[in-house]
Amino acid sequence: MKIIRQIQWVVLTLLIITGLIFINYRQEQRREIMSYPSLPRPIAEEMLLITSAGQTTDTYIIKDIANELRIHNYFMPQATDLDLEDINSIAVVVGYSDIGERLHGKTFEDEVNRIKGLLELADNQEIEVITFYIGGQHQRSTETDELLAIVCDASNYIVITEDGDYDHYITTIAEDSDIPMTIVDDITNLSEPFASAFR
Amino acid sequence: MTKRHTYWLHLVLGLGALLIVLMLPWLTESYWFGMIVKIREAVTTGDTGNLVMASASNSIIFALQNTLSFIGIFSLFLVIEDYRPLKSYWFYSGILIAFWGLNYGWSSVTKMPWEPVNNILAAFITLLLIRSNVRGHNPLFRSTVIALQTFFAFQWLNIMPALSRYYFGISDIPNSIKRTSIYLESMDVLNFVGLAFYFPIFISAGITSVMFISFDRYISISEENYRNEKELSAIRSKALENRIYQEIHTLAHDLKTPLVTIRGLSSLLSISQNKEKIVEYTERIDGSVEKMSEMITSFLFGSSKKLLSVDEVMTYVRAQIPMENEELTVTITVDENLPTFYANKIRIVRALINIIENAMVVPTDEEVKVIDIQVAGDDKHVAFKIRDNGIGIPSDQMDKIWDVGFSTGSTSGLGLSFAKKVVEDNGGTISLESMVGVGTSVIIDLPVTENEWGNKNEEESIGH
Repeated sequence: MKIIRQIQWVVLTLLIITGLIFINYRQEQRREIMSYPSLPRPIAEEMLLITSAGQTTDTYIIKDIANELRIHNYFMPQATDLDLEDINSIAVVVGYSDIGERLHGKTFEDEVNRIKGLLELADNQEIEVITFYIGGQHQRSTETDELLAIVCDASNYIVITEDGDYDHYITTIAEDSDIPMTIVDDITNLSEPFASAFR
Repeated sequence: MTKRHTYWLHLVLGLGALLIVLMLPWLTESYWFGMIVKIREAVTTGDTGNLVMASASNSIIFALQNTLSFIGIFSLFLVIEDYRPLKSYWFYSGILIAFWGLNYGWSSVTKMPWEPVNNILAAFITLLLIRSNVRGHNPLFRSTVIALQTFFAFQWLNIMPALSRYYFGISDIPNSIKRTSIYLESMDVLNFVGLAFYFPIFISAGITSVMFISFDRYISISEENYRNEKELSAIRSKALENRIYQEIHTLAHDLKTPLVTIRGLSSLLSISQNKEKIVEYTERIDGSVEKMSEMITSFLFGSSKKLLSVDEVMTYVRAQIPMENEELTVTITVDENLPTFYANKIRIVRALINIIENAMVVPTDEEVKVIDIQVAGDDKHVAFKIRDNGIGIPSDQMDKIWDVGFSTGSTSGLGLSFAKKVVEDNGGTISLESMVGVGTSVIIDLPVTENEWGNKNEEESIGH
């Protein structure tokens, strides 16, 4: 009985170790992707509207970087097509947050409709759209992916962090639509590609 | 609390906890919004303190949510256990599966965040910690205290960026907190804060579990001691009862001697014509009756004392013990001109005989058991010393030898305690000296005091 118990513990320990090794291995599997470190020439002009697709808190980070880069911007996470007056470019920060949506009293369907309306008008008015996805692997959900598909497809430039494209979902959209994309290691490297879109 | 009460208590508390879990999205909404505000403040001001505060709120809410759902399920399993005992395997794995199912379902319906890896791991660890407490007193209370600490400790792992790759902190708020910490380049702060909270709280949960288990052991040992004490008390009562019968038997035997005298003298009276002889026989019959009366009084009333001489006592003692055989040598040495003293004759003699009997039965390493009885004294004390050449008493047992029922050998364990009581009732002291392998000496010291009416060495009995 004691031996069986010891074997059980050994098996459990081995399973845990194997699981951890598998997780590490899986996360180190990366495909070589063609991406720009930054844009060769600017594509957007100020005034910039910073909005959110999914009400993630990452929007605050993009706003903070824009302020640091002294890019004139309006910060409107709930911006609608009515807010596009005097706007020359839009930064859409994608990432679905249940709590964020609830905080604003919106449902996912409301959010999708708002974003679609905003992007449609931006397209009509030839306003440049820059997509940011910095939520990483763990913010990738069905809702986030749906928003990414909508926003990336309508973008002129996509900036993402490496861990957010673990399954090449965003890369595939960018490649299919021939949209320039920059993949940065982490959030601290966002300034350069962000600035390159304007200067 | 009866089993029926416990059943209902577990059912009500279990359902109550689960009901609160269902209401949590509405109850905690403002706290979740508060966390988003803190994260925004952290980004705007660059102050990592806001992230730590958001982490604390996140850990508290998650710990509360997990503890309630865990305890709710645990209570319902206790209800099932009360109704029909489950095998440990089904009990624990059932709780784990139900916990996972509840969290998954709850999260799907309410769209509230949950941490699959962290929650299941914390629940598993909680089950390990409460495993030995389930069969103890108040299992629900214990499990709640341990679960609350364990879940709270584990929630701090969610905000550690270093553990992100192991699927810790993958839900909305922890993920946002960690990303913000990367942006503010304060990952080390969150890693440190996470560990700094995790370890002490988790260790506290472990210590709490051990304390509960120790408490159980203490209670079970106390209950066992109580049972043993009760059994020992019953044995002692039985032994005392036997002792009383033995004393009565001895008294009855002693009463036969004056009775035989009375019978013989009364036979002589019936045939005697000599008046002087008749008077003499009558006086002797009267003396025997008086002697019987004294014996009965001494036996019945412990406080009944009379003036005794050492010779009188030792004559009585000699009559009660076998003085010599092949394996036993008894020597008696009595100093001359010893004073008389007040004591209950029957009882003091019985005390001496008990001690001598103890000395006789104690094993010896020598070929012949030697018992040396010495009586000495001065104008204030009379001392009886009974020394044997037995195996002696180990020093660690010396404190217990006066306890009723304690015995180092085949005796009843009542002799010494009885002797001590008798000697103390008669104003004396008793002491014991022993050396292993050499022998044991018991010394009875009786005072030569005035009687309770202030008459020293007065020739009268003080009794009832």
